Amino acid sequence: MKPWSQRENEGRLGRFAVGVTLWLAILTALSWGYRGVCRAALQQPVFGVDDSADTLVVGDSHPQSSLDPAVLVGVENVSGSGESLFFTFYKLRFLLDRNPGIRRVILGFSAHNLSKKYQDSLLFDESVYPEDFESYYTLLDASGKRLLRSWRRGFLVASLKYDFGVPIQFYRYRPATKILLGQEVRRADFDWVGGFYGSARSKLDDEQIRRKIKLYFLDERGRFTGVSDLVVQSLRLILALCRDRGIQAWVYTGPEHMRFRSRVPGEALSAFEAVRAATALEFPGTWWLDFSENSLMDGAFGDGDHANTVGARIISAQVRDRLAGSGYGPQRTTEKR
Amino acid sequence: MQTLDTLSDVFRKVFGDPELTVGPETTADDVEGWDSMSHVTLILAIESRFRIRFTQKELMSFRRVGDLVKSIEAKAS
Amino acid sequence: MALNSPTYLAFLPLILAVFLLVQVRARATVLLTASLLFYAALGALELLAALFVVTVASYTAGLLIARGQGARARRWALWLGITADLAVLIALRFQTPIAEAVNAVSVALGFPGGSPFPPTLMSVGVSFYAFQGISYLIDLYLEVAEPERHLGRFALYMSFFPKLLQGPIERASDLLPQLGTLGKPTYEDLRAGVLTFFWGLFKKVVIADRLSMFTGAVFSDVQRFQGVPLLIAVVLYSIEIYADFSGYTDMAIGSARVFGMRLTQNFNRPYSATSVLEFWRRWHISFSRWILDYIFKPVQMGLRSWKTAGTVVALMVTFLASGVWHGAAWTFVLWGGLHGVYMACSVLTRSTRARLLKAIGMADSRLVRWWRIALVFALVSVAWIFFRAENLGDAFYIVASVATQLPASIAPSIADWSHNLLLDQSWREAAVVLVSLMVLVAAGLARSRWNLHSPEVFIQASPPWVRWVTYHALGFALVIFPAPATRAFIYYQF
Repeated sequence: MKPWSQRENEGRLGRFAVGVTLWLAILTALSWGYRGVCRAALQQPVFGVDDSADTLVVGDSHPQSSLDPAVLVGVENVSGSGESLFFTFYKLRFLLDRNPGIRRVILGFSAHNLSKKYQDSLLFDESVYPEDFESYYTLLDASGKRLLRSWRRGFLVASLKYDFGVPIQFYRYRPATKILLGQEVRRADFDWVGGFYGSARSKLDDEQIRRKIKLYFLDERGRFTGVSDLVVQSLRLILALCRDRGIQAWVYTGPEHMRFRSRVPGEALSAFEAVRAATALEFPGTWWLDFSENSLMDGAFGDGDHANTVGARIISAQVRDRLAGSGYGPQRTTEKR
Repeated sequence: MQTLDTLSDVFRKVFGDPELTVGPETTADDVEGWDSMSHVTLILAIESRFRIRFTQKELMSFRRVGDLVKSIEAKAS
Repeated sequence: MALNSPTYLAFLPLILAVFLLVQVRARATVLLTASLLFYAALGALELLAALFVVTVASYTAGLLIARGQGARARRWALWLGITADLAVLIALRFQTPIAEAVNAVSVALGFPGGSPFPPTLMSVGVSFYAFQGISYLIDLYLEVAEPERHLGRFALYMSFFPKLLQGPIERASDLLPQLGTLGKPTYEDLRAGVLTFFWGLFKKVVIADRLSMFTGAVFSDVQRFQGVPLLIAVVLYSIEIYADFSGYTDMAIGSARVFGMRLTQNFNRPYSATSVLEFWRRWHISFSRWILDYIFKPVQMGLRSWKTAGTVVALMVTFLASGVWHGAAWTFVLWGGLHGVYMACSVLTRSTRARLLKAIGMADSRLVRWWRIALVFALVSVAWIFFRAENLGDAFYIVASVATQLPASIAPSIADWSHNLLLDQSWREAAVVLVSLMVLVAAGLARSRWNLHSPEVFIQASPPWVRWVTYHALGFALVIFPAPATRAFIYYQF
């Protein structure tokens, strides 16, 4: 073994330092460029909704599957599957900024949206929809990022990528890749955009319902773990946003089949009612549409807690009639059908 | 010496190489073809020629021809 | 902690720094402490207990063998030690079948069901160091190795963290002497070690994990595919398991190298083998040498009077044992059995084939060589189907579908190429796979063309600009192209 010599080591250390610095310099240059591209992606003028639309539907897979823009009039549905209300706020604000013509917002909100277990898995664990987290991250502001901050890989990668521009798997962010290739960027390239998604099939399976309930509400020992404060906060932020911009907010609870509903933990339902009561007091101008208890037949459901295209047509028609017959006044109505 | 000469003869017959000679330091790598199958054939031929039987332990610890010679001579006496 | 986790990337330099700063005498202690912390970080008491039992049993039995008076005493010590090591291995690796059997027996006897312990104990690393302990004892018994009298050094031999979780299985005569002379690593050691480590990380994180997105899509739901996509998944898996396991091994070898220690080579361009026999001299070398020396040779010699039949039986026993070592499932047994059959056929037909080739004058033909390489790859890939499939039904489905539906599936595969050719994955990821595989092939070709059989040689033989470009490219590849989701190493489960 050759002994270490002082001078040799100094030379090696020097070369090593030069090598690492060079690498970091190149990485910084690449990051700076990529960060610019990602910023530019959000500046693209592709987020305008249809001129004839004055209502936005936002939320998760429940409004996504049950509110059909073909049946409703003047409505654009931008709900996304597995979207936490926390992200919905930032998404809504982003879209409202770019669409001043919006006069109404229909927000999907059900018991599972409040459930801490499910929402935490979307926000702090990404175990259910890992890729979406990065996509929604681009919409967050500093305070939002602070609330989600942690050492886990998903957050670190998203932060490195979109805050610092480090081109980790850069090709997976479609808008940026399109800009780099000189192609036209479209609204659908942004994963967080969402849209109506109707399924034609109908399968009510008790085993699947049981698993869903567990996914939404229960921990490993089968207990309801409570309400997510972040979501309650987000709900208030959304309603405040609408109120401040003179936009009529409708809170919509999508249809659920009895076999699903009967399995929802009682504590979850009462927590939901409590939050609804509190919110109605704080935001008296909000309208409420509740289709969770309904008389839809089995064939109208895709699974226990989602309507299929048949159910969507029925529900959307009812919502359309309600929207047509309503004014913008501060009446508080809870509709149960 | 005698054991080594006889051994070389056995090797020559097993590997079909009339030029082959082995010394105490010869290992499996030196003799072409001395792999799993021919190892068995070789051992059988040696046992038959010298009328001996190796134990399992001996067989597993042979590393060079010299080990073979030692073992054979120990059994002869 | 796993070798490909960020924690390890902090752990290794930290331990190295401590190692370099302490006195020579304390170095082994540093490594032993680090290894125990490393294993404890998995948070499983049963693992530490298993390591403790295997270490103490092998150490004690080893001393008894070395000091033993008379062949009987030594043999007793040997078998006691082997039994202890095997017992730990079987208890942890075969928990589920054992629990089921205990359950069945107690129910049959009229007792209420319910196993005494829940079969959810971890077992990572046990298979490897249990085998290492057994090899130590046998080598002592055969007097081809010296016993280790220092318990601490022996414990380090068993638990050295780079090789603790997935090998290589180190022979006493290879590793123990190195532990006795822990000096300062040379500059070459550091360079080669770091380069080897990052090259292994590249194979794991960029190639293997990305390929597992494709293969996982197929193997988790095989009925959704027919013909061509199954063939693609099988080929990709053959590459994936190589990249995964050799990637781990490189990370292990690199980790050991920065401390100035050499672990045994575990892979040597396995898919360049021209026979299944040769494949097993190039794949998981430390393991195949173990089963060769400690199972095959004794059985073959024991059955030598059966001549060729004896060899065939020895091969089948050896490879079935290999299958069982990998896991308590029929798929692994079938995998092992297939390799046993391949080896047996190879041995039985070898002389005939050699004569045939000589007769038609093609003995040294390059065409024949390529044909053989392709054939070996195909045979090994078929065996991998059983290794990877979730159950026997899936494995047979794949084999049947590829065998019978391949031509019919070509047209629909081209028509619905995103499902059948891209296996429902993004074309962008497929593009990255393609490029990274080209890098792998290029590295392999460079190795054989310029005789760069190790990172050291690469470093010494290449001009500085080549080295710098390589280091930089590796660094960027690891930052920009890691696969979207990390996965555990495939051999972590063994």
